[in-house]
Amino acid sequence: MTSTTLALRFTATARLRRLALVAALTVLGAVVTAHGELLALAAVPLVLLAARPRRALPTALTVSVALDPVRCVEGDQLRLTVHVELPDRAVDRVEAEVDLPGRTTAVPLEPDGGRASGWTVVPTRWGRHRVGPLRVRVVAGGGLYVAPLVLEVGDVVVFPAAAALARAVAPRELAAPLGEHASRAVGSGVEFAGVRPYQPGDRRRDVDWRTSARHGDLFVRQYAAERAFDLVLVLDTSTDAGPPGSSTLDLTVRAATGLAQSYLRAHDRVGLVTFGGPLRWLTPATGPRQLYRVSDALMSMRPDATERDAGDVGFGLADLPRSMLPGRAFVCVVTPLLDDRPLAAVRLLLDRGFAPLVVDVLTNEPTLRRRRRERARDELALRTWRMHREALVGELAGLGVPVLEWDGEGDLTGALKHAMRAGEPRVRT
Amino acid sequence: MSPLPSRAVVRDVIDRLTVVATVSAGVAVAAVPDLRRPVLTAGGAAVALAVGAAVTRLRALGTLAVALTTSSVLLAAALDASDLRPVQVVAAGVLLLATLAALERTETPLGRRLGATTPLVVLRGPAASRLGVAAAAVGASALVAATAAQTVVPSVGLVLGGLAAAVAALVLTTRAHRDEPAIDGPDVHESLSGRVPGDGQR
Repeated sequence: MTSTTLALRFTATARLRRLALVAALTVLGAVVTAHGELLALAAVPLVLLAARPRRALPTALTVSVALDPVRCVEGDQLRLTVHVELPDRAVDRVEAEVDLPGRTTAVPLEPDGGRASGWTVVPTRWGRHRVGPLRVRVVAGGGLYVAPLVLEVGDVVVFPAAAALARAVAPRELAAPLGEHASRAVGSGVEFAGVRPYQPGDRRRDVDWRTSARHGDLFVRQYAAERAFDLVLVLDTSTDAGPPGSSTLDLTVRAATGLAQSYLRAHDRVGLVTFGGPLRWLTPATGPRQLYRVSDALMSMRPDATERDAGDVGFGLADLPRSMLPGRAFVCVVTPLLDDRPLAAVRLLLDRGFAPLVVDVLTNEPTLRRRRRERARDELALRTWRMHREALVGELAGLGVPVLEWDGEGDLTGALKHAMRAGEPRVRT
Repeated sequence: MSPLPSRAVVRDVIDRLTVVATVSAGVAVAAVPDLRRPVLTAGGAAVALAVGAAVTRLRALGTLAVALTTSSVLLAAALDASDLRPVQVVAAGVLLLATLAALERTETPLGRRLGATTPLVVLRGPAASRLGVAAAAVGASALVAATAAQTVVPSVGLVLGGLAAAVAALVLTTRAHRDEPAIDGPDVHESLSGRVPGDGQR
């Protein structure tokens, strides 16, 4: 918490001017009409004005503002505390309010020592947001003077809430030699893969005595090799459709965060490519640092209308470095499927030998206008739009690409597993 | 953004009604017991302006309403001083104070601004000092009214002395609130940017 001492510059309030007006009118009336009893009315404003001279006002104020924490996840609670110090309490009251970023709620903190001293701030949308400024209003001199102050609070980084993913599932065909996923190759893992006849050199502890007794010959157990998994998330950032908080971009970011978290936790390598807006990529890597890199890249994702409207530029995916899309990597394309560009991206990936999975994050349809004439036109447009989307999904299915619909609520694990199997018919079931 | 809390709306309606009620009461105090056309006219205009100020929240209308309420009391006294008893003058003063307070609350923007938190009172001065001054003002008013009601032998010197004292009080009070030269110290932006060393930043 940093303290800042600020000079107070008071200005007269409407109350001061009105009291002076009443006093002047009354004294003038008493003098003009020579009615001394009218001075009783003038006594009220005169005493109020005389009791609070300007020189008695405080000259400075010390304000401390703290926002904790400054990095959080959507829906987390932040504490914004304000502490005000005055040499003497020569003020009537000090009020404070804070400007909040969009889709952020705030409730006053529980009073501590009789007075609330801040707010509980809950940001509900990911991104880098500016909290503040804090506007302080010092009322002094019996409400005759007011001094406004403006104080910066700070930025808060709100990470997207991760999509629910119970565990990281992976196809059986895995390339990387070290990892935690059981592959179809036989190796030194812990998952049982089958039995085979004993050969000289096999370890004695691998002998399966029950099978050996049944067949009258020695058999040994085999285990699945544990391999790592390369996941490349290809995100369509061309459009942000739908209500804030559950828009296509919000769901895209949450799905990507959930997938990246789950697979990085399982020591897999995760890479990221965004298209539709500026082409950005993050080479697949593993470890906690990669999670921060992915989160950081996701935070800067915003639709770029200029590039989107620049025509079909192939999304630049064809120009990606080879290391960006390693062989046998599993590619997950997260897109709202609002135009043909994701289809072009999928075709490109298929040409390069990948079997991508498409996660469709569009949950809302366009709303129709109310007026009858416009509504009829809108309904026709909506039907055409639906047909176009169906055709798009049909074409993807024709290419053998599974399309997984995700509304931001369900667990992605089961659907992802199913889609991986559908995409790779060679995997063991 | 969450909708405006209903409690704030109720409080706002009460404040608006208080403006109209206190101005009406002030006018009524001035007008009774003898209803005179000038007083009624000024009072009626004051009430109309109070309604306008309560509806539109315009400061100018509020100030005019206060001025006309004061004028109606002055008119009542000027037309026939015997009509206005000391208690009426004191009551009019108290009602004017209440009008000022209600007007101030009405003119303040309702509840929270769009995109901002609810204003929070983070520090409040002692209630005794706030209420003490108001009580002293009403006491002084009562004292002046009671003194003015005493039957004394009229003398030009006494009247002139009293009025001169009132004018002097007005002048001195005004001087106490004269705008002073700017305080030598860091302004807000300088302090925030940290460009002023030793300005209290820790």
